[in-house]
Amino acid sequence: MSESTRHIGKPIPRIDGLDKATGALKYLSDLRFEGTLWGKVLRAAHPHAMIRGIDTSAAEAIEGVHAVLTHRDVKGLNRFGIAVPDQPALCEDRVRYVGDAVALVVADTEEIATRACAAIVVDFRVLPVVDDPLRALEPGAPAVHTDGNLMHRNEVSKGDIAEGFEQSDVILEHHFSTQMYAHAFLELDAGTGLLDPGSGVLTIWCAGQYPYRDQLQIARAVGWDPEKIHVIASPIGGAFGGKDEITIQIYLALMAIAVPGRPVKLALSREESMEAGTKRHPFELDVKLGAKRDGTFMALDFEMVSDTGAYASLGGPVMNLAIEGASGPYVFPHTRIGGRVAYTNNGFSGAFRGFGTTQSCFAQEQMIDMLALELGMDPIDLRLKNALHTGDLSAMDHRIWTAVGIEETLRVARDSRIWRERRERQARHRPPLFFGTGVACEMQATGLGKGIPDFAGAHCDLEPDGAVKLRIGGIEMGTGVNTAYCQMAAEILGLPMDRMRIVMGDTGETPDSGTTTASRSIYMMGNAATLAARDLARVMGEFVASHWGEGFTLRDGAFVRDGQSVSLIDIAARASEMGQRLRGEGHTVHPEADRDFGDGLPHIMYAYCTQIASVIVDGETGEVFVDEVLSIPDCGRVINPQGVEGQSEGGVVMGASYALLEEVLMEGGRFINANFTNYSLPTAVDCPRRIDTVMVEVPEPTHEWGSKGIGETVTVPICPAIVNAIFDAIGIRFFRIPVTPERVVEAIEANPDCRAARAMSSAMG
Amino acid sequence: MPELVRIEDYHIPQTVEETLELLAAETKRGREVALLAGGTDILVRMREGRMQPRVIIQIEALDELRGITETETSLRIGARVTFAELLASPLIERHARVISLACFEIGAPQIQSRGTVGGQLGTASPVGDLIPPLLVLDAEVLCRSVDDERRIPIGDFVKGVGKNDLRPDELILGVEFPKPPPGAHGLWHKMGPRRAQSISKVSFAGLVHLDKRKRVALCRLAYGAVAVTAIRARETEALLTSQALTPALIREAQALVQTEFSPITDLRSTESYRRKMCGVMLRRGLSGLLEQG
Repeated sequence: MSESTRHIGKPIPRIDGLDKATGALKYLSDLRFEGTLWGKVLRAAHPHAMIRGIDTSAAEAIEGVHAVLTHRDVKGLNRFGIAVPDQPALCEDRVRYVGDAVALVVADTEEIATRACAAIVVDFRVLPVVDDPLRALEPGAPAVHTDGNLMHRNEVSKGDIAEGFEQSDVILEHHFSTQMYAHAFLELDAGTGLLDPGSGVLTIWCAGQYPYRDQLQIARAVGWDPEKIHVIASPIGGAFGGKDEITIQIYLALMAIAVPGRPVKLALSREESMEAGTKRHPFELDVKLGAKRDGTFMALDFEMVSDTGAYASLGGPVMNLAIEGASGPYVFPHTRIGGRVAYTNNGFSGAFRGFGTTQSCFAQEQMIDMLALELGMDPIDLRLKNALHTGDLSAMDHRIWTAVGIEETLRVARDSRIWRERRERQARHRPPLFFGTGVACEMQATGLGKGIPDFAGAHCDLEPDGAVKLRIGGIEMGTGVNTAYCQMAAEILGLPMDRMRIVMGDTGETPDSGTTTASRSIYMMGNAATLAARDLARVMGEFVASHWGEGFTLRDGAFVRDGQSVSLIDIAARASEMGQRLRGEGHTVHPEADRDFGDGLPHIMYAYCTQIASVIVDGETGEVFVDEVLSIPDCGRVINPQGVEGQSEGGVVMGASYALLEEVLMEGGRFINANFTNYSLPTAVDCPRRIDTVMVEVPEPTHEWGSKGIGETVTVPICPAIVNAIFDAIGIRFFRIPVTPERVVEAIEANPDCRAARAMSSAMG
Repeated sequence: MPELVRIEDYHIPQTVEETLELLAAETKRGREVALLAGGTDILVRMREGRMQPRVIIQIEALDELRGITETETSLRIGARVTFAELLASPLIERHARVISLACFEIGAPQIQSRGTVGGQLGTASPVGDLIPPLLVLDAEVLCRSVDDERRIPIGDFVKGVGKNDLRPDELILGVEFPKPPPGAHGLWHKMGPRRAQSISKVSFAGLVHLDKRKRVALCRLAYGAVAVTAIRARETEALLTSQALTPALIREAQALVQTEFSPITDLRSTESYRRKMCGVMLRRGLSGLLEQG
């Protein structure tokens, strides 16, 4: 699209920015209702145990307690889970992780509810704990579920892997490990439930990434008509995938049903949220990579095991995306990529920005770095030589006919200052400080994948005052999509931004737009919003034709015909008089791949990103300072550069922290750093000194504006880029993250021949 | 889920005398008492159920415990003085810069505005970042009860993880220490899991005075998070004192200090890393003095 635009591609300020900055915006956890009662959850006292009995009588006897609920009070399926509903809302006879819920209390105050929880007597028989995914898959391991601990297994292949390695001149083989990692969203899981006894409608105000699916999961678990459940799920104060699965919505529903007419509020503490909620899966990865002497990739073999913890949630799909992303954005003639997902008693893992590709990319992009070194090739040239293009067959053997911008991102990387000056800057550092630069790429599957219903709806209403209101079922969780949708609709209708309104994520107010996950919002909901705006233009055009006559065209927010102009305000006033509502609707369905490998594989559209990091390593203290980052996402066409920059910078900080700092520590199924005192998050001074974002725009032809989502891909390659940079700096390869100062110091000591150790010992003379 | 704290009495005395009488009375009754100043430690501990006092005495109103004062030879800091007040104090900056350096890295500004000197001593945590500076300043803790007043050297006052020498009927009035000789250097280095608002993996404070010939006239070194209390590095101090400070001596001190303590491996760091950092911090601090000339 080359025509000039009014809003598209412009750094329009966030429509909710001021209210968020001033605190005027109320999140769902901020809402206060008259006469609110407080809820509390009694969690499992053990990571694995049978429940032999639950005695609630003492709790019920406490003054101010309105209800004590156990599984006996649940009328529905009493289960939830996005892919497989296998997780009990309230446990019946067994608990499988420390966050499992056993009972709920509703009381006048939070204090009374807490005391009542402590008064519930649960007779547990402790079972052996399995806290290692590899051990969990061995015969004789304690079974977390009756049909064993293998939750999911998948494998894809292309060509003939044995032949591929036979034809390779160089073969590398390594093992990698990644840690459990917390979303650490700022807004804790909190919300309110209310059953209106008159209408029988159950309203749940609670942050969630897909209100319509929350509605379904609540209905199924508690045995309630979904039509009589109203879920309000937006705005969200941070989620990153951690509010994709049910968090507390079912508890709110159960408690509200128990005390009709009274709002019930539940607010988890940070510790409870950390222990009960989903995490990023820890992975073990074995990788074998073969290539020709000239750098041509020949064969890739991946075998992975992930620890999904106690319940399925999205453990299967996360492994599938690890498999799909394992090759990276490169062409391989021969592949075999497999993964197993193990149940353990280690909390439970699920959706997290990057969704499995984070883990496989960490391994693969280091393999490629090692290969470049082995072949004496520039790491960017090696990647360019093997880069994927539109029309190529993927590593899974399906034809990618959508836009592929990885080559363009790599060319920007190769020509960048940070890359060109890296040797010069390295030479300027003296022991014990070592400077290094690393690069990595990623392809992130976007959309939900083959065979999974992937649709979005949007409504675009002319309001009585002549403003235009978008209604979209997706949620706003800090990414700025609400601003982007308004830009798209305002562009179509020729309106200024201040005439746009938007409501999101409310089953009573918005159509179903699918989940706000899988980097699908700008693509799917953006398309739906655009189509809805176009449809509203058509509806208004017809209305104008029948009331003001034929021949009007929409220009700059008004219908005009030789000197005559009918504004949206005129149209709205006439429509109100006539009792009509003018609404445009947009509905869109995601394109699918031509092949089907099962379980949602493959996808047909990917976000691509190249990132370069330069680091300074203190060889004595082991501290790694990320100096500069260049982030180069292939965005398709950019709707709002400020929004992309925000996503890119946030993603870099998150991915850098994954590489260097954060790790959820567990022992025997118990969390040992489940608070922000001991689970360290980066502060401003821990962030890279400088982050630049260069947006590559290779238009995606199937999108109305040529755009696609980049919310996840900007988080992923930064981690291997940093670890590659550390290698460049000190000559040591890290196969496990986070790369803590302790690990760096230990590694330098264990490798007296590495660049850093030699330089430091000669410097000390 | 921690037991709920049931507070039976909550006092807000207006004077030290009144506070001491309350403490004496409660000591006789045998109820567990918590003295509440900034609350940055106590509130966290109560919430986690690690501390369950029956009586709280809020000492925020005790102006007698405020203020930083000097005599010709010493400085005195009241127990109610906050880290933020220490940071803002020209007296501290001039005579005890090692305290300013440490306070800058304690918590966030919110914690600095609430947390107090008395609280740091009362909590007696091995990672309390103010204690190593007080150790190298040879501070004494001033305590008073209804019928006794004591001055306890800081090294004797802190006795273990969360343990100190304070008697149940005593109140910490403040700390006092001699002014270091003019020209003495304060050294401070803290390492934590991240670069701000962190809990120390290792912290190091030093007070070193070099005479004109670069001889070490005064040397006191202390570390946090390497033992059950913050602790002086006596052997290394002895090695350095009265010697000419040279790169070779600094290397020797680095090697020695790594063997002086028996730190542990915990969720924040490892035994071997802590040992090594003791040496690196010392060498960097002392080398900085040499380079300053």
